[in-house]
Amino acid sequence: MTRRMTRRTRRALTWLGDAALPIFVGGGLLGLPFYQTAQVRGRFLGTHPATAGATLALVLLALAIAVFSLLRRDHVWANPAELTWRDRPDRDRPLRTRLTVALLLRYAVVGYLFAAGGVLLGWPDLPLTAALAASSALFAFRWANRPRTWVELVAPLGLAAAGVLFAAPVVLWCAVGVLTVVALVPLKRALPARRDELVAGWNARVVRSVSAAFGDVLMLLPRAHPVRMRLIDPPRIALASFLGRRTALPFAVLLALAVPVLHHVFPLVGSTWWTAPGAYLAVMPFAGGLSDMTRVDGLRRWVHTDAKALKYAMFAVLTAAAAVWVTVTWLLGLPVAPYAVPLAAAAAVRTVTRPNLDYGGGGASVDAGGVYTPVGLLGQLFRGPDLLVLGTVVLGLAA
Amino acid sequence: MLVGGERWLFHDLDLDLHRGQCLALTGENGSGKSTLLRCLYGLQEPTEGKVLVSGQKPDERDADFRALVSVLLDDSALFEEYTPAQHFDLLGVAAPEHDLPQVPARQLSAGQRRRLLLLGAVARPHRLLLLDEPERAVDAAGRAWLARLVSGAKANGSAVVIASHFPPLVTAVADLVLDLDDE
Repeated sequence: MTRRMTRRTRRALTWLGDAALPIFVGGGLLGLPFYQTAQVRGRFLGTHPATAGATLALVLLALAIAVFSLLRRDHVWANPAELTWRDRPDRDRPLRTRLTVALLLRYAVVGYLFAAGGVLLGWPDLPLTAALAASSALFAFRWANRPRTWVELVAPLGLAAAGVLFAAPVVLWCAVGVLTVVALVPLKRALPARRDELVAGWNARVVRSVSAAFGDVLMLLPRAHPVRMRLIDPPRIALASFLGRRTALPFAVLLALAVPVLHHVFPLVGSTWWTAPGAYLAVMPFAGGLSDMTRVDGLRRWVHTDAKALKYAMFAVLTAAAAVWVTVTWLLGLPVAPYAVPLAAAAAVRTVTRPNLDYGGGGASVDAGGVYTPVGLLGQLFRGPDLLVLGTVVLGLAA
Repeated sequence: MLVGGERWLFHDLDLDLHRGQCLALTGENGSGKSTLLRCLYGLQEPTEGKVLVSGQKPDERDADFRALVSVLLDDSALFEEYTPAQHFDLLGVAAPEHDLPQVPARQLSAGQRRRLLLLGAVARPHRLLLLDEPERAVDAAGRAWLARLVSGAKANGSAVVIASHFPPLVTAVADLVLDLDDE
């Protein structure tokens, strides 16, 4: 007797068939540290000694990134049509489910890094690592359900700082205690998210999806906040654009803490390869104002200033910001790469002054990772990163 | 002189507009008012014939041309984080007299945003002013203010072209009226 396959099973098997190759390749690559340990260690560490402290630093950094990303509250959204036509009494239930899934996924990655780091570099103190993971997960879950406040960012930045400074076990046990207490302390009771918050979250999600579908990362640059200053010349316009995007500062700080840890874990990768992309990513969100003025005709018409002067002013502001960022990484132990500073600023300016993507004039198509993509579109998408990669290669070879 | 899909939107259109004059474009939705404005600003080219602004072929990509023409089109926008005064700083002009609150643009009402856009369009140095449905989102008092604003621009020597669905405004400011339903 034959049994009919359910639609769900059929769909799952279809997905498995489609994803078989990526799963096979991805699984193989992720498994490398476990079955080709010596080769992987040689490739990343060379003759440098492996230390369990590096694993703990890597885990702390991963925990910091996990908590940081959960505190962005990307799970707080609802389709406005659902709210209008099929509003449910308990709006928070799907939000809690989404947050739980997001948390589990992130901590699965942390678990993988712990295991891979342990095999390659040495196993850190297991109870301490487990306590750090549990307390930070509890903190992230509780605080991501509360109204947003800047104080909460102390936790992920503190975890990353503990990693980069190779904090002593006693300090880390104190951190576990603080995170647990702060997570459990009944501060202000979390209220259900308001409709406008849910709709804003939905809109942000739509922007993320569109950005991913069209490969246009400039859509993801942060919104600006008001800045009280006169905008009478290019330097001030550039500075106001920079200061208006101060919400990107914690991300830049997290990057500054992350890069020295990564350099320590992968010592064979030259410092330029960390500094230039790191500085580029750190300053990029602050260049959003120039992107707006370049891409939106209605905004450009407000700006009387010559476009070139504005570009140079933004370059100067971003160079200063990148210099500060590189100095911080140097103070945290990363060898300094001074030429990465203007390179990162120039690449950021080149990226944000890209005209709107022209999907029609792509020309011939090439196979880009399994997807046929027009060459012209690739050229547009890589305007900015192309300079970064080229400059980093040149600086890396010169170093 | 332009094909909108399968049909002619207008043809045999021949007119001159001088400084200090206002041309009002009227007609139903889809009659071609905005398209004609786009042709005048060089965002679109007529299928046949030509448009000249101060002897130049319109092309909004050309900075010299943009210096001649100020526009309020559908794509006009505000920097949400900046106050009205900061917007005029960006334009490099003194803020005209207005009663808009000095708060970030995102806190302005729809009517106040429209007023700021109108003030910006008029304050920008220009010889030709193009306004697409300027009365949109503006209340009754605001419409009277709008008529004064356009009259002021004319008095300062601007040629003005407005596309409008608001007959009192057309009556108040227009020297020439082109009804595109008749074209």
